Amino acid sequence: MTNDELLAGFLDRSLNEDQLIEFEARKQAQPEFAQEVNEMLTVENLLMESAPAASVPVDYLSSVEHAVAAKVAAGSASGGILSTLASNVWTWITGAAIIAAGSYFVISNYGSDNKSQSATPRVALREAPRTQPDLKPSITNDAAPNSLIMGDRSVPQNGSGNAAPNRIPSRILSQNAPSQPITANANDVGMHTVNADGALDGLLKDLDKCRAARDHVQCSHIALTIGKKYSKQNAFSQAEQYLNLALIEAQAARLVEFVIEANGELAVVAENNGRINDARQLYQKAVTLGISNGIQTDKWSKALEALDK
Amino acid sequence: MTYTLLSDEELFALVRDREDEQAYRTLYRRYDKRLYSYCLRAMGNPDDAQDVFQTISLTVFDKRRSFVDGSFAAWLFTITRNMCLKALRSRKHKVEFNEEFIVPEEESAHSQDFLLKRALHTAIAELPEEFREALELRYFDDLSYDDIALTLSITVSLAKVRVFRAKKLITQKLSPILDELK
Repeated sequence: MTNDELLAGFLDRSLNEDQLIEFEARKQAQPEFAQEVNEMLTVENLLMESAPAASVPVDYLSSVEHAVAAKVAAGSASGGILSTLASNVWTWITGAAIIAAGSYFVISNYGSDNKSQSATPRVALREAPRTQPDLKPSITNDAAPNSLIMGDRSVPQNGSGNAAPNRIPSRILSQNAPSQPITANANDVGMHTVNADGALDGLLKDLDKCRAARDHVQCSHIALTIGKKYSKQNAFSQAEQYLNLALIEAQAARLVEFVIEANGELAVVAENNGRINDARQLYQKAVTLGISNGIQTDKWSKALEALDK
Repeated sequence: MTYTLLSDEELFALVRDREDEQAYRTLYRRYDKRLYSYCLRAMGNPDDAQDVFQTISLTVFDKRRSFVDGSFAAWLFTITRNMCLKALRSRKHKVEFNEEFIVPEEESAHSQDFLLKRALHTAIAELPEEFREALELRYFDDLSYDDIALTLSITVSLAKVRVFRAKKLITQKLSPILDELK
């Protein structure tokens, strides 16, 4: 095997025992290879923690979720021509009403101050869609992904024509969220075989798999589940260990819901251990994160209030 | 039914076969931020990213019958990639990615870590397209090599080679900085 093949295998954790021995031997024998390995490991670590932290328009994502979920519930997207036609007709009616309202405004203000004539109708036209609660895209069912026509974008617009996600009802994730944290890529590590109520052994094995696969989302979920189980058994030291791991993994996966839950559960452990100040800080952290991300944290707010009493 | 314990494919089967809203919502929340981040990286600005994201979300449901087996993540990212490419082709002027859409790091702008990450992102941006795409799918979108291969319509071994070469090129570019930081 070449040095590159060994290095690639090492980074992907796919070397067998003999190859690992060979890898270590070459590192010893070739200082420049050892340096390359170190640098590649540094880059690997940087990459794992350097996903661009884009500002996610949570409200917008929520509005799309509700719009498509409504289609799922109604089965309307598979309704064929009629549903598409109905959607288009509704869009046309709404559009016509807006234009009519705008035109009326222009006509009724004709002759008044020039500045208000030009500015006000433009605002009226752009602001009118705010009252539409749903997105009404017109995508045909039969089109292939590459030949789809972009749907009418009925997302509320601000004055500059940019989407204004803040005007869409804010997202409260935990309202509709299942009681368990959300996971991703379950198929990668056989998440479907994980039973939250099952034996700890199984969960611990799954956690190992996740960590080997560097699946932060799954690791966070499983570590959280294990931590809660230990917490219920009053095994606080183990609980803390796994909840801290869940926190680290959730931060790596940038899953704020998990970060909140891990902090809340750590607070419970701290409270049960009599570390009231720690508990207060952790509850506070969970609540603050929830508020800043539009996630409901009643459970932790109540726990914090109870603690202060 | 505990939806969160179901695999992506099991959830999508519920959406496809039973039009199960809760299954849809669970699946959506597994991927919405990742997909949006992908769209934002590809399109370069939030308006276009939201347009494409909305279209993808609807397409995934409308095209649900075309997913029969295999990896849901790979299928989803294939649709996402195709949509983004189509939107980019139809756009007359490519907009460069605007750093104002990146959430500012909490670290000091002069800290070693910050400078290193900045250098890293510059190095990624300068990678050949096919290497950059494979690397981002691996590290920013958390896809497995199998899913990267399916998404890019290449073999798994080629996916591995592209990711490795991308890392090697980045390492070469960062080597002087890493030396300096020692």
